[in-house]
Amino acid sequence: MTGVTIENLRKEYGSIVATNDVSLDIADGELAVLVGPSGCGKTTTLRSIAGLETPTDGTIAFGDADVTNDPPQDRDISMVFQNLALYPHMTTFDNIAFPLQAENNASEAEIREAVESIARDLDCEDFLDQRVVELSGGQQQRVALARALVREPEVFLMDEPFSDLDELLKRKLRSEVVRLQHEREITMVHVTHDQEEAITMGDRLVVMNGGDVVQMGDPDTVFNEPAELFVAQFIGSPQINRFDCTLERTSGETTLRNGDLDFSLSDDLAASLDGAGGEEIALCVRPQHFSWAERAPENESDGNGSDGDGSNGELSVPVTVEVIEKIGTEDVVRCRGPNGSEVLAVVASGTLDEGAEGYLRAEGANAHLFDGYDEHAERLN
Amino acid sequence: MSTIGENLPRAPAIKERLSNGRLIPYLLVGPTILVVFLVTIGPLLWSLWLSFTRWKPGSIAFQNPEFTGVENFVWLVTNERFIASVVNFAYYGGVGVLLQVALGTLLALALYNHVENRVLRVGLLTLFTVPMMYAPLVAGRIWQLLFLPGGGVVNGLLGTVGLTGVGWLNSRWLGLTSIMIADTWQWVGLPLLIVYGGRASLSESMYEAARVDGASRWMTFRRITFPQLRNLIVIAGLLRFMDAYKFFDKLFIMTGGGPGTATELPTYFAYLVGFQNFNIGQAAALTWVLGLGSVVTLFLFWRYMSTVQGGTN
Repeated sequence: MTGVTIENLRKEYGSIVATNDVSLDIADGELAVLVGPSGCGKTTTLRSIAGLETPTDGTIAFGDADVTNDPPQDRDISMVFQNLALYPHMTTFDNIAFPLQAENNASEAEIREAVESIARDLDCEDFLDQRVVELSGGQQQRVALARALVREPEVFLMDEPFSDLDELLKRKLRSEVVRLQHEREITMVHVTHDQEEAITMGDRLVVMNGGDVVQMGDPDTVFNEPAELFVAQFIGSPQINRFDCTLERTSGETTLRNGDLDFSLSDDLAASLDGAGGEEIALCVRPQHFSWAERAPENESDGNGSDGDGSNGELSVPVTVEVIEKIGTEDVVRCRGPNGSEVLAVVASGTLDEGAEGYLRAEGANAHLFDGYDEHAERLN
Repeated sequence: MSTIGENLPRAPAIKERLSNGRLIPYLLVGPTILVVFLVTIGPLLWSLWLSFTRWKPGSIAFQNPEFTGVENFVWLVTNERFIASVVNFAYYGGVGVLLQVALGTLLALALYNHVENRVLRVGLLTLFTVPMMYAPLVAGRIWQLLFLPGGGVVNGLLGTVGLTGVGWLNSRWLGLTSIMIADTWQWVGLPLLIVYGGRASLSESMYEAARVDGASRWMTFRRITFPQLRNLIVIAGLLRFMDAYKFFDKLFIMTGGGPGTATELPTYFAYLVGFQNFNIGQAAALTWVLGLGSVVTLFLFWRYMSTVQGGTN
C-alpha cells in the first residue's frame, strides 16, 4: 500500500480539456472519493492514476515513485470499471483468478484459496463455475469487485461501479467495500457522480468541476463549509436553498436584500462580508437547518408579514407549504417563498400539512455566504 | 349400391379444391421444386447411378452406360495415382489452410493493435484484400512467371543475394508448396478480414481490465483474444478448406499436375478421368467419394460448433 500524489495533471483530447490542473494527495490507506457532475474530469483523473491515459502535463507518483509514464501492468493497481469489463467467455472463478494468474507467483492451490475467500466475502460462491454472461447485473458487479479485490494492490480504483444497481444492493456493496477497505487498509480512489454515495463512503471527498479540483476535505467539512457556491449546491440532498441577495449597509446594520425579503446579519456574519468583492451575495441555507415556526420572531418585526427578519442573526422566511415528500421519518417540504421562489426544508414526519402558512427559521451560524452568484463564487463566512 | 359409403364425405373435386384454395400452395411451389429436381437432385442421382457403370462416350465398346457393380470403386481405392493425389490434398489442404488462417489472424491482430495511423491501416487492409479480386487463373499465371526457374523474379532475387535458385514448380512437395504460396497470397485477405472484424467487435475496456490486471501480451492473446475469436477463425478455416477441396485453377495453370502426375490433387485427377479420358463412370465414382468426404468434413465442423455453442460473446 502507498499514497498517491498527483501534481498539476492536465489532459487534453485534441481541443477538449478533460482535466485542467488537478493536484491532490491521497494518504496511504485512505478512501478518497472523486465526486462531481458528468464531464468534470473525475474519470480522466482516475484513468490517469491507472495509467490508461497518458497525461498531457503533470506527474503522478505512488509513494515516492514517479509512475507518470508507467503502463498499467507495471503499476500494481486494481480497478473496477464502470461497465465492469469482465471477461465474458470465462467463468466467475476464472475471472477472479485472472489477476493472480497474471502475477504468476502463486500456486494453483493458493489461487483457488484466494479466489474462494474473496468469493465468500462478496457472495459469489454459488456461481463460481458459471460463465459471467449468464449472471444477473448484481452478480456481475460482485464478480468485478472480487476480481479487483482478490489481489493486494498498491492502489485500488473504482469508476462508478455501483451506478447501475438497485438501491438495496448498492448500499450493501458499498458497505462491504468500505469494510474491506478499512480491514485491509487499502488506498482507494473511488469515482462517482452521486454525492450521497461520496459522503457515505469517503474518508475524504475531492469535489471536481470543469476539470479542476474545487474542494478537498472530509465529508463533514465539505458539507458544512463548502468552499464555493458550486460545492454548496452539488453536495447535500435535498439541494441547498439559495437566495441571491444584494448587500446593503446602513448605519451599523448590514442587510442582505432578496426582493421583498430582508436578512439582517449578526455582527459575526456582517464582519465576514468585509472581504466581499461586490454587492452581490448568495446566501444559502441547507433544508435540514430550517425549522418551522407559526409566527415571525417576536422581536421588533415591522409588522409587515412579507418581511423576513432576524436580529441576533436569525434568518426567517415566510412561506406557504406546497408539496410534502415523505422520506421515512422525515418529510421534505417544498414551500413557496416570497418572490415566488421555492424553499425546501426537512422536518419531522407528519408535522406539517400542505397549504400551511408560517415561517422557516434558521440560525445565522448555519447560513453560507458566497461572494457573487457565479458557481465559482467563494465562501465568505 | 351399398348404403355404407353414402354418408362418407366424398373427396372434393379438383375444381372445388382450387376454389377453396387448398391446392394453390402446391401449384405455386411446384415449378421451383421441378426445376430444383431437374438441375440438382436429378443429375445427382443420375451421377450416383453412373458411378456403378462403365460409360465411355466416344469409344466403341461402351457407347452407353453398362452396370458394373462396385468395379469403379475398387479401381479407385487401388489406384496409386488417386492415393497419391489424396496425400497431396492432405498436405495442400491441411498445411495450406493452416498457413492462410494463421497468417491472416496474425496480420489482422497486428494491423489492429500496432498500426495506429488510420489511413495506413485501411490502406494495408485494402492491399491484402485486393488479390481476392483477381481471377484465379490470372493469379496463377503471375506466380508461375514469378517462379520460372530461369528468368523468374524469385530466382532472380535469390541470385542478387548470392543464392542459387531452385525449380519451384519442378518437384512434388516444392511444387505443391509453391502453389500454396500463390494461393495464400491471393486468399490471406479472407481470414484477415474475418478476424479483423471479430477483433474490432471485442470490448476495449476488457483489454484495459487485462492491462490493469497485469496480463502480459501473450497471456492477453492466449486467454482473452484467441478464445473469443476461435469460432471465427474456425469458420475462416472452413471456408478456405472448402475452397481447397475444389481447388483446381492454379494447379491447372501452374503445374498442370506435373511434373508427371506428382502434384495432382483429387479434383484435378477427376477432371482428367472425366473430361480428358471421358471415363464417365470412373469419374462419377471419384467425385462421389470426394463429395462424401466433404459431407464428413462439414459434419465434423457442425459437431464442433455445437460443442462450443455460444462460445463467443
